[in-house]
Amino acid sequence: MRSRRWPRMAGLLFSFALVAAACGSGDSEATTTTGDAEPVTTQAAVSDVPGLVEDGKLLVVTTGNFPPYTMINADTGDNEGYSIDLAREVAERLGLELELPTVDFVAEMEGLASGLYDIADSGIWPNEARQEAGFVFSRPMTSTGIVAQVLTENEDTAGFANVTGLIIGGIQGSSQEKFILDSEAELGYAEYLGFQGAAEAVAGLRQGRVDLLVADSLLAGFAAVQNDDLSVAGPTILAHPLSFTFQEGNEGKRDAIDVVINQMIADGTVAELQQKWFGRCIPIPDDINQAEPYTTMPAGDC
Amino acid sequence: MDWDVVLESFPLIWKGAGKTVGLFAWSLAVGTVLALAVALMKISSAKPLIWFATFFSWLFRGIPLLILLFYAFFALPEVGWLLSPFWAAVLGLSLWTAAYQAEVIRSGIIAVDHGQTEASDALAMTRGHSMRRIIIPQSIRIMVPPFTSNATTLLKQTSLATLVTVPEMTLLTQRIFSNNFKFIEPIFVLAMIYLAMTTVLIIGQQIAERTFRLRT
Amino acid sequence: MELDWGVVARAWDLLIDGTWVTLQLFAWSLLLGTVLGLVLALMRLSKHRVLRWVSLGYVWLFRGIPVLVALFFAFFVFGRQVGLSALQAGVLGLGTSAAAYKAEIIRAGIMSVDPGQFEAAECLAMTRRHYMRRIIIPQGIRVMVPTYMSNTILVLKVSSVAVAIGIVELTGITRQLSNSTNRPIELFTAAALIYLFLTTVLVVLQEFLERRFALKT
Repeated sequence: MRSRRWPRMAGLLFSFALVAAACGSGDSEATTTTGDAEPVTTQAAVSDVPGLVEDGKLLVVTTGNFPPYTMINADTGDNEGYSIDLAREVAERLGLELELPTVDFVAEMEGLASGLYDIADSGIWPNEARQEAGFVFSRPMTSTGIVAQVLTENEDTAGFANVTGLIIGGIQGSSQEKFILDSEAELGYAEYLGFQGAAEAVAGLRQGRVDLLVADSLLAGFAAVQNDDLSVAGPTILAHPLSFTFQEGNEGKRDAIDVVINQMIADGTVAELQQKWFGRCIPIPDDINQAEPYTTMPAGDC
Repeated sequence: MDWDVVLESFPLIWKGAGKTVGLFAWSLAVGTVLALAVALMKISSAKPLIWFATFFSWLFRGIPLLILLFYAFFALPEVGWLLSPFWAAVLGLSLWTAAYQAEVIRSGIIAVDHGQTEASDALAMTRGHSMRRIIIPQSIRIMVPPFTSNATTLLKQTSLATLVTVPEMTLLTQRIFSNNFKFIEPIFVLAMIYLAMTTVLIIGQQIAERTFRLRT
Repeated sequence: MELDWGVVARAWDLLIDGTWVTLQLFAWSLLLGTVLGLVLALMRLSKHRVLRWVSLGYVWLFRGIPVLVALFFAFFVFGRQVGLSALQAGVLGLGTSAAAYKAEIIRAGIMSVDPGQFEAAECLAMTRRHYMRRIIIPQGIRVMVPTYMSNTILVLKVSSVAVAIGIVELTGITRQLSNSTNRPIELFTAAALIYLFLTTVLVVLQEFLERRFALKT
């Protein structure tokens, strides 16, 4: 299963590198390179990013436990994924050095609120509760939904439509967990188990601790592609945007990063990354409060 | 501190009290039985039993409780033994507390005046008889303080079951603050409930000590 | 079911990184716990009622709540106001919890010294600070060594709870590795062995210290 990923990743990385090289040399608005390899300057330069935790660096915290947004490569120990590539691209365009601390999800949001990091970036839904708690969000950089993740032998079941008497698993502190706990009365499941992260949750599914997982649909889709024994059951529900998250009061930093994200959407970089990690192009709403950017997960290539 | 949030949080956290007390009661029961067995092994004259008891104590006091819990939760299913989160936690907690309580029980038995053992031998009592009627009752008096102290620690350690998904009080508290990002109030409520429970145990210890004291 | 111990060899560097963080947590919280514990013990023995009550209250509070709850306070409540990193909050939570136990141990040690020593020192017109430092505490240390060391070993093991606030020490890195490689048995066994090694070193140290401070008869 894992060995299948590498030829494909290598191929995608290589083609992405080619595309990036092609893009980098011509598209930006300000000065272009001359004979010496001067860095390409863009509209949002380093001096335009206020309130960085450490000068010259962009601290982007992730969990390393939410594939394909962020995951730890078992062989190299590197953090990689859609969120990581986005962060890398943003840091590069701003001329900042990228640092990627890795913590559990609850500690991630808390550390951000304490001002330890610049950005929290592992597929975070800018929902009402988080906005009310004071977190500041970038413009959306993708969207996703919630789906039931199951073992392949159960892929023909109805997903959330019929979960009476079942044991459901999820990730502690996630918005998927909130959905399941809030819907306890309507869904009528037997029990909910909250795991520390995606890997523990999948292990629980495989070991038979839980009958299905309430999962991010891109995570579940990725897992289904990588693993023969994992699938999704039923439709994607509650599609919602995902954004970078900032500490309260960091509107200036957010605005600077929004400029870069807008550039990346406009020049197709985001679409490239979506194709690479999700295998499809997903509509990116402009508004963080956009309800249901789509009702079924788009299937085709970009 | 927003007292409305405190009042809201209390019932949500209290829902986990049943699991907390359940973990505590089961682990104490199973752990004490195990501890008694290990203690008796340690004071027996059979070398293999002594060796096993020593190994047991060294092993389960040498590694953190959390590693035991993770073992029971993540590793055992790999060898086919799938325990629910609650029972996996009880297994880990029992083994852990048994190692400590075994020492308490053993010290209690040894501390009883050797003369008592000799006297009962002289009266031709069987070892089992003298243990049951002479030694153990006196040992209990000595054991009560450290035993209840360990039991109080066990109660607090049930909070680690949160890391293996058991919905006891600590996990329910985390659920509250990871949702509404209000930290002070739920954590305060959690601390107060634990403080109340441990204080009850401490009072219980005073009562037990008074019950078993020497009547002079 | 086959075991692949090679996974431990491949993960060894990361396990050592985690062990290093564990040792840092251990050292700093031991330091904080001992210093704060000493202060609390002396407060408890002071003439001033307020100091005695504060010390008593502290010990009751921190022995009455789980270490995990103290860590939550340190990280989510206190740390947020002051801007502590997870590691700093971890040391604070672990150290303040340990201090409650160290305070009792130190107090027991001081109280075990024959009251005659106190009287003799006062007769010789020594200041309290002087005789505490030169007469009482050195004798108290002999009594304290066993319980202090066994509590210290506990501090090492309790450092594993720091996982709950996202600190990647030995237990945390082992869990991450066990997830990414799907080999919990091998990896948790390796972690257990590392902990056993560390605690056994401390036990040996304890026995050495007990012998060193023993009364020469």
